[in-house]
Formats: sequence, C-alpha cells, structure tokens
Amino acid sequence: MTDLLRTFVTGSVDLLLRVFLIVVPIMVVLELFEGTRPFRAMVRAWARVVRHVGLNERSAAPTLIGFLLGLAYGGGVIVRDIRRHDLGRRQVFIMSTFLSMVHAVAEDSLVFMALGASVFWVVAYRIVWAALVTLDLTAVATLVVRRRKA
Amino acid sequence: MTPAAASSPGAASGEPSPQPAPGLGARLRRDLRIGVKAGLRTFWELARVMVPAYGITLVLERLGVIQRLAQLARPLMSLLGLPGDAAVPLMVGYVLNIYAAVGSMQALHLSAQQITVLAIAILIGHNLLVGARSSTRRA
Repeated sequence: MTDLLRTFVTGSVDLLLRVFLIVVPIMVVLELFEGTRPFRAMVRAWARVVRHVGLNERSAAPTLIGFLLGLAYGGGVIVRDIRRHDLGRRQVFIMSTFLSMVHAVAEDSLVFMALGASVFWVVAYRIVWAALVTLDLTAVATLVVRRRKA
Repeated sequence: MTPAAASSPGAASGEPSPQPAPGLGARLRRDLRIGVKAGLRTFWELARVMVPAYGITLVLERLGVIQRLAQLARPLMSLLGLPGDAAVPLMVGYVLNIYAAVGSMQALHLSAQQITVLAIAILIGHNLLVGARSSTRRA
C-alpha cells in the first residue's frame, strides 16, 4: 500500500514536471510565432485538410498543434484557442473526437519507429480512421441535437 | 477563470495584435508574459484532471484489471492477425500509456507487420482514463 502511494506520488510529480516543462515553453514559443507568415501558411494548408471533417479555419491551428505535439502538451493551446476564439460546442466536439484518435504524431511515430513499425502506415491509417469516425459521430450528434430542439 | 481572461494584457492595453511594432524587446517580453501566464493556467487545469486519473489507473493496474481485460480480448486478436498474447500490450496501452505498452511489446516476438498493426491499434486508443477525463473537462 505504501509502495503504491509512493509510486503515485513520484509518478504524479514526474508527469506534472514533464507537462510543465513542455507546456509553458510551447505556449511561449507559439505566442512568438503565431503571427508569422510561415506559421500562418502552415495553418492554412492544414485547414484545407481538416475542412473535410468539418473544422473551420479558426479550429485549424489548435488541431494542428494537437495533431503534432499531443494532447498533454498541445492541450494548453487547445484550451486557450477555444476560449480566445469562442469556438463553439460543435467545433470543440469535432476537434476532440478527431484528436482523440490522432495526436502526438511526432512523438508516437518516433517511439513506434524504434520498435520497427511502419510510420507511414501507422499515421495514414490513424488519420483515415479518425476522419471516418469523426464524420460518423458528428452526423449522429447533429441528429441528436436537432431532435432535441424539435 | 473570467477575471484572468479579462486581464489578458492584449485586451487591457487595447492594442490590436503586433501591428504597431512596439520594438522587438517589448514584444518579446509581452509574448513571454502572455505565454507563461497561459502555460501556468493550462498546467493547473491539466494537473487537476490528470493526477486523479493517474491514481485510479495505478490502482486498476495493481488489482490485475489489465490482465483480466487482456484475457477477454485474447480471442479477438486473431482477427487482426496477431497472437493472443498481443492483447496484453493492447490493454496495457488502453489503461496505461504507450510507453508501458511498448515495454510489454518488447516481451513478445512479433514481425514488423504485426508490430505495425498493433501500433495502429494502440495509437488509436491509449491512456483512456486520463485522456477521457481531460477531454470531457475541456469540452
């Protein structure tokens, strides 16, 4: 029991420390680069992709960050942009559903590449799967919301 | 939450984005301040949901829930062309995280193709307790 408690404490501290050391610098770096032209171009290109799952241009930036860096580290940007741009429940729903299945592509790919998995297939399959599920769930959610209003 | 949002420096000074170019040093300092503030707030929000979920996960692991789930998922593994033992890393990934899953994958002898399939399965769903709590808080 005490050893479970010890694992919990050290594990929590480790988790929080890692999140802290990564979240804060990411927020600072992003604040610096957000207005720059290359960043905007990247977001615009990404927006053209995620448009197909129903995400608008303002949702594209946080989705891109979550996609590349992950939810723990990109979560800060996601929460901030949802508040800052008042993205609305529909966008948040789509974004959460999509990102829950593809995120942290950079880190995850490296980890599984080390094991010998094919990164291309892993990433491609995840994106396609996430897109399909997101479209389906959004359709269902739209129906539910509409029925509730009617 | 609201008072913090209202006192965001950009809104307070009434200047729109970086257009007026107040000098690089000032801009750097301002961005640094906003970034650190946003980072700290986020950190606190994430910490509040992640730590309890992590605790629950540890207890589930200790109770042997993962092994039991793996036993249940065993028959499904052949559908993916994987040996039954592959259920263990999959469930470890679902309940814990990808690092733990990678750890338990090391113990199995899988082909590159099987590793890719298992990687896809684990990457689509992992760390479900911590993740679910974080994302419901967010929405």
